[in-house]
Amino acid sequence: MKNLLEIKDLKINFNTEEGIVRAVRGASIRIDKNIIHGLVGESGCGKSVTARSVLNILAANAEIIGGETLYHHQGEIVDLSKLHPDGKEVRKFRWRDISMIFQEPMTSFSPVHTIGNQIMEAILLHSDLSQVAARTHAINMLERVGIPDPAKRIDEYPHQLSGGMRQRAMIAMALSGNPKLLIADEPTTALDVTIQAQIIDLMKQMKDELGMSIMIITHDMGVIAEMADYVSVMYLGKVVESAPVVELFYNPLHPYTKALLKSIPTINSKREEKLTAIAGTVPDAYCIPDGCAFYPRCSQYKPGVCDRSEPNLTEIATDHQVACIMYHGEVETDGGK
Amino acid sequence: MEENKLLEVRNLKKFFPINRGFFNRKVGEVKAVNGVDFSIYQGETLGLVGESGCGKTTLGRAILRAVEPTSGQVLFRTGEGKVVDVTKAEDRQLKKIRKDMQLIFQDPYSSLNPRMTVKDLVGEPLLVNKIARGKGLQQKIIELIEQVDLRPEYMDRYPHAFSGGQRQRIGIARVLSLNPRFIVCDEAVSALDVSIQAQIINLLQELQQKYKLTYLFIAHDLSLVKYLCDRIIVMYLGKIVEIADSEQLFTQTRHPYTEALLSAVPRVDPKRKSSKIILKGEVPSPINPPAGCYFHPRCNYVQEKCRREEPLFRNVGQEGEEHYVSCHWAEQLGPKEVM
Repeated sequence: MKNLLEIKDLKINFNTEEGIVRAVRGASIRIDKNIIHGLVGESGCGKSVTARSVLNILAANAEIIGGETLYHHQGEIVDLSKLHPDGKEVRKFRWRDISMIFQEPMTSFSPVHTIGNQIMEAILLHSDLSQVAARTHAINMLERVGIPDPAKRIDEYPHQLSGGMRQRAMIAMALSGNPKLLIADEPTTALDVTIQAQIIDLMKQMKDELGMSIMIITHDMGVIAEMADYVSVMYLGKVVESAPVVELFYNPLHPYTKALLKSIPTINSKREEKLTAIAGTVPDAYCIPDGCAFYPRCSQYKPGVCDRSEPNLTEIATDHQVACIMYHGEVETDGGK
Repeated sequence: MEENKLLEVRNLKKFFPINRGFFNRKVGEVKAVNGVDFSIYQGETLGLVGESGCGKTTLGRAILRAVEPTSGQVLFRTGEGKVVDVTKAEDRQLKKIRKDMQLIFQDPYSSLNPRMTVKDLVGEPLLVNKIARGKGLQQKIIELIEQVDLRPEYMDRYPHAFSGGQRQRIGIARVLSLNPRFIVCDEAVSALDVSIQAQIINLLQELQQKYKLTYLFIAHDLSLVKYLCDRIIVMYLGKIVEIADSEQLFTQTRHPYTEALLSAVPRVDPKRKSSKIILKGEVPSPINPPAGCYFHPRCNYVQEKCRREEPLFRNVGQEGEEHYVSCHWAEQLGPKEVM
């Protein structure tokens, strides 16, 4: 078995004062062993919520109302979404099997404890190492992620570290339990490009050294192209396309993926070529359109078809899945406006 | 100042004092902009890039005198063809110049007053500058709103009813109301999602053609800047390290920092083999910049001279081309292609 994690038809609602927000509306993602899986989409598409649901660390008003999150663990399959968020069961998996790093290296550490104490806290809580052994392990991890002079830096407070160093410390903490899966939610968005390059490099190197998988969540197609082996594109709470990275960039099928790729200026774009903007804006999550959620912005919208039923994610070629009516056998695929 | 120049910046500096202690004594200075020289030509789009803290925003504001520059000159050619030093202009004159120079902000959420309707927001500059009143005002507001592809029916709504991209359009309508000739776009699309980013960029380009606008486009997204700009300025720690034609900056890179910066940009192509130059360490503090060349602690080509002497900012372009760089070894290292 090469599967590590399978998210199947996941549905998450947020209960707010204004009503129910259907943040994730049946998302399916499969993450294989020892690969980097990119999850990409615009703000509000539900990519962070999907990722957080794996560890059951959703906000209090969020509710998983359907679907499964199957984690393959030593020959067994555990449905993480059914575990109680505060229970002992799910804690067994956090940090040791699956751990997470966040966008804001500034706010994800507590400012009143040294980074060493925070890393050691995680180690002591989840393993039976002694205080001394935990400290040695923490110093070791800091060294592995490239923090200079780790024996001294371990006793520093987060504010004494720069953004890039703090993100390295975060990675050290997340990886100190030797997890099988690292979930990285926009890990480089707050960093400058030269520091971003350092962190991307570090994550790739750690993935190979530790033999884990990484699920990277980002809105930056460049970061995806640089890091990911496999990509899932999300739009309004659903995965609309899933493919190996080269396939997705060179042969995108879903109109949203196509439009997204065309709307980004690249280093090679010519000035004379106008950027292809996607018309309109992402609809409000309170009133998601019937049928395919993308049809109001789609250039290949077919009245009477796209606004009727919502297409499912279907495998078109090996490992290439897409959720668009155009590619479903029973409908003609001549496209057109 | 040559006829084709709209603006010329000469040795501009902006230092922010650091005050500490009981008597609030000045204990140091943040050298945000530390002596920069460049020109902006009529009708061009000039990009300004650099990492956070390099002083690009401060420079943009100092040019408009939205922050008071510490020293230096900003020469601006007014609509009547007169050349004025913005840094020395008196209140009355400054008010006049400011109609010509405008600023688009990064954050479309905090730059619009939430208690004003779109109509009031767009109409405000017209009233303040006594450009339109009464019936004419209403007509002008509708024109401006249509100009940025918003629907005039929505003009009695408040900013919260609009999405980020629409708010940025409202901001642009405000700026356009004064018929400016020069606009500083400070990270004008950074807060927007990519699909919306493209809409706003296309709008900015259309407006530029229509009204012959000159842009100073401040951004950290290098792919975007390359796509949009005629020339690019690269800043590092309050100083300009390189200015070149945007194509040339990529194909004939002269400064080691530019080389590393450009190579670090993630390319939207999974087949491209990564040839990133990973820089050591991080940007030093602008309070106490290193001696000699500011970039030397992180530079891959560093030599003894770099630690002592500050390099001269000079033109190394061939045959009348302008390509400014501040590196001791620009001639010896030769141009590099970063792709």
